[in-house]
Amino acid sequence: MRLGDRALGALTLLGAIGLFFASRQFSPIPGQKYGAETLPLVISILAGAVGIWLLVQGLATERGAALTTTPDWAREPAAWAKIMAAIIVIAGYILVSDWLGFTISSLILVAALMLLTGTRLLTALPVALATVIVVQFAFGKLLLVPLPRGEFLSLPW
Amino acid sequence: MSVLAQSFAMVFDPQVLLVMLLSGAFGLFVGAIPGLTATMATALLVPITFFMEPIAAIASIVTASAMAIFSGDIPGALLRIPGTPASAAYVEDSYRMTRAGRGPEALGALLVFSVIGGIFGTIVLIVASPILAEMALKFSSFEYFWLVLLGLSAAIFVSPGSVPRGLVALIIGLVAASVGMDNPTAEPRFTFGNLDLLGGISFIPAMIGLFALAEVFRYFVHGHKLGAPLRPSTKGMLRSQIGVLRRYPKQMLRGNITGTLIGALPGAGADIAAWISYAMSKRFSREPEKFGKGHVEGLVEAGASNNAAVSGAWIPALVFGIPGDSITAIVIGVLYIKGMNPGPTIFINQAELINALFIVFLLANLLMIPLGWLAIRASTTILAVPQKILMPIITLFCIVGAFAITNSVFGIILMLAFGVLGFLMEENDIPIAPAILGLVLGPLLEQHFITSMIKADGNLLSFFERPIAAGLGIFTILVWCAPLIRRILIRRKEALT
Repeated sequence: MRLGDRALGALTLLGAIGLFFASRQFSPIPGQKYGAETLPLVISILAGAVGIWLLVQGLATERGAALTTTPDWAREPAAWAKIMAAIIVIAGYILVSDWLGFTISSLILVAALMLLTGTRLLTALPVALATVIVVQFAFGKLLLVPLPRGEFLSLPW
Repeated sequence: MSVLAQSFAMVFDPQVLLVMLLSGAFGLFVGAIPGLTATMATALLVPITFFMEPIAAIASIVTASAMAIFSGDIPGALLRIPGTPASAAYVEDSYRMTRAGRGPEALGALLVFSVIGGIFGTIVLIVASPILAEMALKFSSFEYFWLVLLGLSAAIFVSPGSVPRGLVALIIGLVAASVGMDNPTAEPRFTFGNLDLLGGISFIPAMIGLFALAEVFRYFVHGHKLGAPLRPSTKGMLRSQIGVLRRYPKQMLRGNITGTLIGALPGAGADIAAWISYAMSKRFSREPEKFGKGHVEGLVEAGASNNAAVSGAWIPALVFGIPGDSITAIVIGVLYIKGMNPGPTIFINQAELINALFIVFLLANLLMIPLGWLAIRASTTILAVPQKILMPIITLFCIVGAFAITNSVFGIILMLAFGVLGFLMEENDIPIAPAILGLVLGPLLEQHFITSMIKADGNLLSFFERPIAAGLGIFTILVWCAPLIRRILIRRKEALT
């Protein structure tokens, strides 16, 4: 979904108002005029101005047009399903990697994403396995990144 | 040992040379794959550079980014799909030349003039940055405040597309920059009670998300279906360039200068340099009607320009710590981590590292000839790697890269959030580069403003009291007023006609 200038302007303006009130909770440096509240306050004023700019521009140029337009891909449920599934797979990795360990969770991640892109299972599995072994060796062994070992299987190194 | 000899010894270390070779190959590969950009190559490299010596880390980024900008030209010439946005300007010409059997001339021109552009930009970097640094030594927080503000403003007005949408991107970056405790009173800002957010938004996971993961998401919805590439030939590729060079010396020089200048402008990088140079080439050409129909002139000028911009972007990055483009925005983060704090004093305190960096730049550009030649020969194989297999692998690299920075899943959460944000921004025509600059320059803006205000006891007029600060301030305000002035001038012209 693509937001038109009016919709984006209204959203920016709302954000500006929120930021303005949020910035009020911070305080200046003792004995000074400015402090932690200055930057958020300035951003909120800038955002307010940009919001109004977009609204005015939208009202002038988008007369009669819809607030948002839908690109071609967004009309296909399959595209939505794919991107949501990709996000869920990565979020799933975040949730289970500590428990399952890097090896298994990344194997599932790569294989699942490959199936999502339309790779055949017979190709996806060996490629995913090879990738995981190479990445685990390069980052875990050579660069000493403490990849999660997990409570299940992890490679000998 | 003299400083220069020390620098040479640093660069010609077998480990650094090996890193350069591998990074060069990586850059060529990423650049040649349509949809993957030079910035993405850099973002994916950063986690690995953490484990390298400073010079190896910088050499790796310099080599990969220069190679990626060149190799973006290869699929343009063979498939009519630019590998990186920096190659988009002249894709029609290079493809038509290849179809007409002039592939070696087109690819040769792109390779040779990329090298020339890169070396020219490097020479300007070598000559101009110490001079600018000497001047910058006189700068205090007032001047730096204006410079940062100028950098942020230039990013908006130079980036293509609508100005208010660019400003929205900048606001997103600035809001992200204000998260955490790193502020004048060390109050937790926008952390919502989350302990991980107290340290602020880690820059590298955000970059990996915005540039690499967002591209993976775009692939999921748009796909990049590649056709069969034309077969490249390298016969007489380099030799044919002597004639081209004799025919178009002025175009080459203009491309070099324009590219370096645009690169040095904060926020504008190789992509914009290539478009402007191509347009200039057409504008001043004796045969403008041939442009877009398979003419080499535009390739000479714009091909040189985008590589010159890669080097030019390092000038403000090294001298002022203000990135010239999104690649140097990442580089600045790496420089800080490696203890090479960008700024004028780096030229005095770490002269051997700076000299080594210059040598790396020259070497990386020279290395482009053999590696580029090999990449052109191997291009049919590179382009045959199916993206449906590549994208999941890139996702895993993104995850491991984001994890390596924070050593916790929080880095991956940040990367995922910024990946979704980057995807939504691109879908709404909101450019990414101003957001990155906002994220990098936001803390500097705040720091220089607060420091200046403490010095001046809250007097805002003190920003105009020092001569250089006043000059920079007036110039910045003029940049802000530029669209308004242009509109008034256009209206007046219309009224007259």
